[in-house]
Amino acid sequence: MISKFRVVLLTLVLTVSLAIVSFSAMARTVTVSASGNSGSNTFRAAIERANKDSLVESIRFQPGLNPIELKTPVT
Amino acid sequence: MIDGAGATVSQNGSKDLLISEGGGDLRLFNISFTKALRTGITVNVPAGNLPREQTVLLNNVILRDNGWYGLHFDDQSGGAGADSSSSLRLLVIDSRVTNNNNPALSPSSSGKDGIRVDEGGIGDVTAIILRSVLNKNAAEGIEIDETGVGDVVVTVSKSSFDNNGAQPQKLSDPEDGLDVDEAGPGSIRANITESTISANRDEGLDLDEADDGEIYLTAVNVETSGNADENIKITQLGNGNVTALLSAVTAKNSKNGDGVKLESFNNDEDENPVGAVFATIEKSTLTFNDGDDIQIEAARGELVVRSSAVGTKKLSEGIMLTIVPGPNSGTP
Repeated sequence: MISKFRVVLLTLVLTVSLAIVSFSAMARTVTVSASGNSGSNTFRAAIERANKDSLVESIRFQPGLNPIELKTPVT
Repeated sequence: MIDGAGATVSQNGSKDLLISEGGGDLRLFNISFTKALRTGITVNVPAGNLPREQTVLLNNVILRDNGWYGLHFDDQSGGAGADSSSSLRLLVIDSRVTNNNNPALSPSSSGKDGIRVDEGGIGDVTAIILRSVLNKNAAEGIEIDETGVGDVVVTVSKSSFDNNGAQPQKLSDPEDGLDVDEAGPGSIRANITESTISANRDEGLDLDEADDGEIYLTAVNVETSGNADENIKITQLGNGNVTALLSAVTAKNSKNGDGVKLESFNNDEDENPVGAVFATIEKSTLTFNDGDDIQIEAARGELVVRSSAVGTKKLSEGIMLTIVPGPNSGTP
């Protein structure tokens, strides 16, 4: 009886763990590597992508970027 | 979550820099927003199915030299918000909010604070400010405005709110260092430790509560001196009382007001205090202020002064005064 309970518990733990790992693997990070107002890899592009893709959880800037000068707000 | 890795976001013609209107949490790390013609970061809280609480986190963030607000977190329908039923949570950690409402960028627009939180409808405001600098903003260092049902809970530690409120755009209306306005049912709880609130052009610390609700202030190891009006001013209107503990607080050299003023009235027009004020001042120095060093206007209550140097005291008839001498006691 105890052994059966342990098997069920272990299965449950493994299932939850796999679900967490899978979710973490799906969560995405977008990198900002260009300092322009718009275009590929800019802050604006990263926000636009995050707005469209609910799996994007973080935006990380590449260190050492030049100042970003915006012509219109990033929304 | 946005990690700027030290990046600076500025403008080349843009009025505002970052605008968030989707209703999700905004967590910013290691980034600067400067020189917006209007506001650095705008967070407009939308109506609809929001989480119960919406969070803005600034961690190692600089908001500097923006024309209007450094940050405007807005949930009031009078602005761009929606009077939503969401509570607002603001966390400011290791950050600098300085020189906003910069007159060089905004010569005619006044009253735009370093940080402004406007909460409308049902919901609370929780603001935590740690190891941060909110200095030299032309309007207030921070203003929290809560309307509708809800409390305001402010926790400040190791931070400064100095030299705010000069308002060159409107010299007749200078502003405070740290200002909380709560209206509708709800209370204010402020806990301030190891911080300075000095040399602001109106009050230093200004807590105003209207309608049903209480004000609780605990200030420990706080320097608040040289403000133009009161160094500390607490006003409760409507049903409610004021409870204040000042421990190791210095409130000196206000220029046109009292050192500490605590009052409880029925409404703005009322000349007769109705509520109670219970205040304890310990290990503190309240001296050399332009008005009274402490003034309490309330129907009843008690002032306990323990081991402190407090100069002039002006107390309503219903206030019982207890002085407990100690090593720091004395009247200058």
